[in-house]
Amino acid sequence: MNAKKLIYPIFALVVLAQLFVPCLMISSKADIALTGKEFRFKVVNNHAGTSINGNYLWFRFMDDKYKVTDKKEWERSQTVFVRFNKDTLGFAKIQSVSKFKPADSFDWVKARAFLNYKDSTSLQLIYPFNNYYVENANLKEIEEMASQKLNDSTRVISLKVNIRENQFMVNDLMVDNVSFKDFVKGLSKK
Amino acid sequence: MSLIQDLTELVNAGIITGEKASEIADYYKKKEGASPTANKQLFIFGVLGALLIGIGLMFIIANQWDSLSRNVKTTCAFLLLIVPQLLCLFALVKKADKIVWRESTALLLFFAVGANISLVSQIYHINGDASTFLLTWMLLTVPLVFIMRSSAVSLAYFFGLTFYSFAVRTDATELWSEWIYWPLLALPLPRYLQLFKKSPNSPLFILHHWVIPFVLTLTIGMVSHNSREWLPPIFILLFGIFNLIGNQSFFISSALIKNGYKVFGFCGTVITLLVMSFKSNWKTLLDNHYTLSNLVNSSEFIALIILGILASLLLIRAMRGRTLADLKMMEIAWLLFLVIFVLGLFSSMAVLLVNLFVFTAAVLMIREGTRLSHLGVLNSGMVVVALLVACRSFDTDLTFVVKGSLFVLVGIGFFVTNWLTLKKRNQNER
Repeated sequence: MNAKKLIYPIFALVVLAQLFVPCLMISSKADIALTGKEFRFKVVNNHAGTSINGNYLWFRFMDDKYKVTDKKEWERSQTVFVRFNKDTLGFAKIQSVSKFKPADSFDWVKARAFLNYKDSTSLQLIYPFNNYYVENANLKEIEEMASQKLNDSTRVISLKVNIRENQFMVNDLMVDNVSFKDFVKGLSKK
Repeated sequence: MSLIQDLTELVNAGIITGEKASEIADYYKKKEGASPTANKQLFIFGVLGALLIGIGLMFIIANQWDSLSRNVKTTCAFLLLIVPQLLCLFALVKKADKIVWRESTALLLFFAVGANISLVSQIYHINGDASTFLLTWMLLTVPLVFIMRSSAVSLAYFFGLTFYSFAVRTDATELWSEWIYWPLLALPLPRYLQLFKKSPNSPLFILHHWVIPFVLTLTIGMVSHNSREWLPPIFILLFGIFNLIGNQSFFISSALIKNGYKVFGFCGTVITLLVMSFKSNWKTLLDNHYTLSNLVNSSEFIALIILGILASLLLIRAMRGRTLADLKMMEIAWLLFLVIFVLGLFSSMAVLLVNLFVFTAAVLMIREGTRLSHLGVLNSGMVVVALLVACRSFDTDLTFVVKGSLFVLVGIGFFVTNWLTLKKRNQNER
C-alpha cells in the first residue's frame, strides 16, 4: 500500500477520534449521574454575585476554606485535590486537601487553592462547580427572582452536585428544600 | 489596461497587425490567470474565507442558541464537526492538488473540533481544565498537518499549544502535563522541514519563521520552576540559536521580512543583555549559594544543557569554512554571556562586563554599518547605545546634567554617523 492510499484510513481514524471525544464526554456525564455520589454544598446566600452572567448563576460556598498547619508547604496559588464527606445535616464538608490524587476515595475534585496573606493559616478554595446554568430565555425576570431568593439570609441555599473522581455534575440548585427549577416554572406560568 | 492602450497605439501606427495585437493580448491574459501572485491571493483569501465563515456560523448559531432544545443543540454541535470533516474528505479525494482547498478545509476542521468540544461542554454543563481542553483539541487536530498537508493548521496548532502552555501553568497537578509541551511542540516540525525544500516561498511557510521563534520566546520560561535567576542564560541561549539559524545559508540570502529568527535573535539578545546590565538582576545570583547536586537536578539546568548543546552544534556548523574573526558578534554573544554569567556567581564584576559587552557590540555594529554603508545596521548599533544610556540613567547616581549630556551626545552621534554614511554612499554612487 503506497503512502497516498494510507492517508484515507489514517484520515478515517482521525475523524473517528474527533467524533469519539465529544461522545465520550456525553457518556461520562451520564455515567456520573448514575454512579457519582450526591453532595449538597451550602451556598453563601448574601453573596453579591447573584446576577446571571452568560446564563450562569455564580456562587461562593460556605465550606471553601481549609486550615493548614504549615503554610510553607503550599504555593501562593496552585491546583489541589479536595476530598469531601457529609456533616450531620447531610451537607458536604471538606475531609482533606492534598497535593496528590487521593488513592482510597472516589469523592474528590481538583480545585484552585490560594494562600490567603491576611489569614495565612488557611487555603481559599475555588471549586470547579461554582456555577449553575439557567436554562430559560426569560433571564431578566429570573435574575430578579434569584436576587430575592438567593440573598434571603433566612433561607438555606445549596447546590446538589454528583461527584466521582474529579468528574462532577451539577444536579440542582435548592432554596431550602425547593428546587430552583420549580421557581423558574412558576415564573413561566405567570 | 495600459497594455491594451499600447497595443491599440501600435496597431494604429501600423507596427503590428490587429491579429497580432489580439494574440499578444490573449497571451498576457492567460499568463495573468496562471501567475503565482494570483494563486497566492486566491490561497490567502481562501484561508481567510474559511476563517470568517467559521466565525460567522458560530455567531449565527449563538444568536438562537438558548431557544433550542438539548437534542437540537447536540445535533448542531455534531453537524458543525461532520460538515468540515466531509469537506476535508472531498478536498482530499477530489482536490488533493489544490492548495487552497486543502488549507481552507483543514483550518475549518481545526476550529470545528474546538467548537464542537466547547459546545458539548456547554450543552451538558461539563466543566474542566482549560489545559485539558486545549490538549485534547490540539491532539485531535495535529494529524491534519500531515494528512491535509496544511501549513495553516500547523500555525494554528503552534498558537493553540502556546495557550496550552499558559493554561497548564495554573492547572497542572502532575509534572508530565508541563513537560509534554515540548514533544508536542516538535510534532509539526517534520512538515516544516519538508517545506524548506518543497515550497520555500509559500507565505504560510514564511510565517512559520516568525511564529516558531515567537512561540518559543513566549514559552521557554516554562522550564523554570524554582530558580528564576537562571532564566537569562536560558533566554540568551535560545536567542543565540535563533541568530545561528537566521544566519544559515537558507535564510541569509532572503530579505529580513522572511527571517524572523534573525529579528527575534537580535532583539532578544539585546533585550536580555540590557536587562542583565542592571546591578539588581545579579543580586539573587550572588546571594544564593548553589551546590552542584542541587543544580544538576533542576529543570533550569537541564534546559541550559540541552540548549547549550544545540547552540554549540549550530555554531560548529556556522564555523565551517570560516575563521573566528568571520563570525558576527550576535552569533557568539550567548557564549560570551555564559562566561560572564558563571563569573557572576562569584563576583559583582559581571555587571560591569555585561555593560562593556553591550557597548562593544553596539560599537562593532556601528563600525560594520559604516563599512558597508548600511543604514539599518548602523542605526541598530546606535539604538543599542541609546538604550544602554537610557538604562544607565535609571540606576546610576549621575546628575541630571550628565544624564542629559549623554543623551545629547547619543543624539548627535545619530545625526553624524547617518550623515557621514549617506555622504559616503553618495560619493560611491558618483
